[in-house]
Amino acid sequence: MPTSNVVLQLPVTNFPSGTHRTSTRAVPAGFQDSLIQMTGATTGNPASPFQGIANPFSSAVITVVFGLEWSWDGGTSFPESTQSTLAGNAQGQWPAAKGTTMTPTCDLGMPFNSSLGGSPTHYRAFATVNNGPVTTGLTVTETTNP
Amino acid sequence: MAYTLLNSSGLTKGANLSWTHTFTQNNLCTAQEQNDSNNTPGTTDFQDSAGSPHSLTRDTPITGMPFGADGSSAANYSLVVPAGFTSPLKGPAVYEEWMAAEWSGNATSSVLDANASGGGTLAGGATSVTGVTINTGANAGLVLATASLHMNSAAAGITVGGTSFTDTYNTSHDGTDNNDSTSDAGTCNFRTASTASQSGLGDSWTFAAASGTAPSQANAISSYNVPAAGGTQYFPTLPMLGAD
Repeated sequence: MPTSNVVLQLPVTNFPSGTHRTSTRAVPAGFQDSLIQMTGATTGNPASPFQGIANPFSSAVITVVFGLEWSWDGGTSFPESTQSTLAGNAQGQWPAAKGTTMTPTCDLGMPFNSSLGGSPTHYRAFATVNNGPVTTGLTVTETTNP
Repeated sequence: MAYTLLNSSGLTKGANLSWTHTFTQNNLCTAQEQNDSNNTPGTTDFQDSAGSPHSLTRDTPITGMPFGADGSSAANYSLVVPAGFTSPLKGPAVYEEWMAAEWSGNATSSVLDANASGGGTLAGGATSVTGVTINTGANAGLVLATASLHMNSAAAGITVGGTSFTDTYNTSHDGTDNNDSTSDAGTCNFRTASTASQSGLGDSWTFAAASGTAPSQANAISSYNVPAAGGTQYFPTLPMLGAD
């Protein structure tokens, strides 16, 4: 039976342009996928999506690349990543698998690289902000299925 | 002769996703896409960072999709990596899940062997689907099977049945998924066993009883040729052995 837990987090912060990362985590046995969310990027209220948010993710000029970086050497190097790239939206709504979401989300499985030994050993979440700053957090919910 | 799986993206779910990975020219790049949202898989759904002309080719025909109340669709894509193919590989902006992979080299420009796709609405209470089948040629070293399942209510679950696509290389590449924790599921499977021509090659899937309004399914299968004898082939680097 799959179980899900929040395993990595960056609190809601005014992220300047650049790359921001969580701590590194070992890939657990039975890893199925990790859900990465830009928590706190909006109020969740379509009527006032950015009320009270210092640096809203509301302009298409602002882009955020967020996802996971993967390591095969115990967390020393991270040669590959899987991610989502989104631009700011005035309504605080972004495409999701079914309709739209006010919390940008991507759900990622584990990559494979035969030249590095197969499956990765560690991972960490990241967000790269372009034309920031952007007020947001990052939350990673990991699902395992032993 | 069979392909070797070198790299895969892992199953990715959601919109606007990409995979940062450096591809090797002349290797085979494939992608498997599944979704339920009435999104017909496009001919240029997978591109490198430069976009056109570096797009993977959609191999499987789109026949009568979408199906059911919301629709299901599945498709396979491929490209022999050209010069100037730049990372990241980008998937479609609106979709459910996809899996991309890089396989040992194939300098032959035309590698698609056989393929088929299909699907339809499910009867209430259905718990299994047998996918479309293909007849492969004598040189097919890689077969991809992709399935998408949409219930419109209740958790689906899905497991791969049959014996055609037992993954003996890397289980993390075979992605089975219950999307949105509600009513959708899909799988991306592959097979690299080297066999002679096969007729009626296909895959099957089982799941929790289908329910809701017009549950639907879609599936796609494609086979790819390795280079004929005498063609350029890729050999992985072997470790050096010390002298006795």
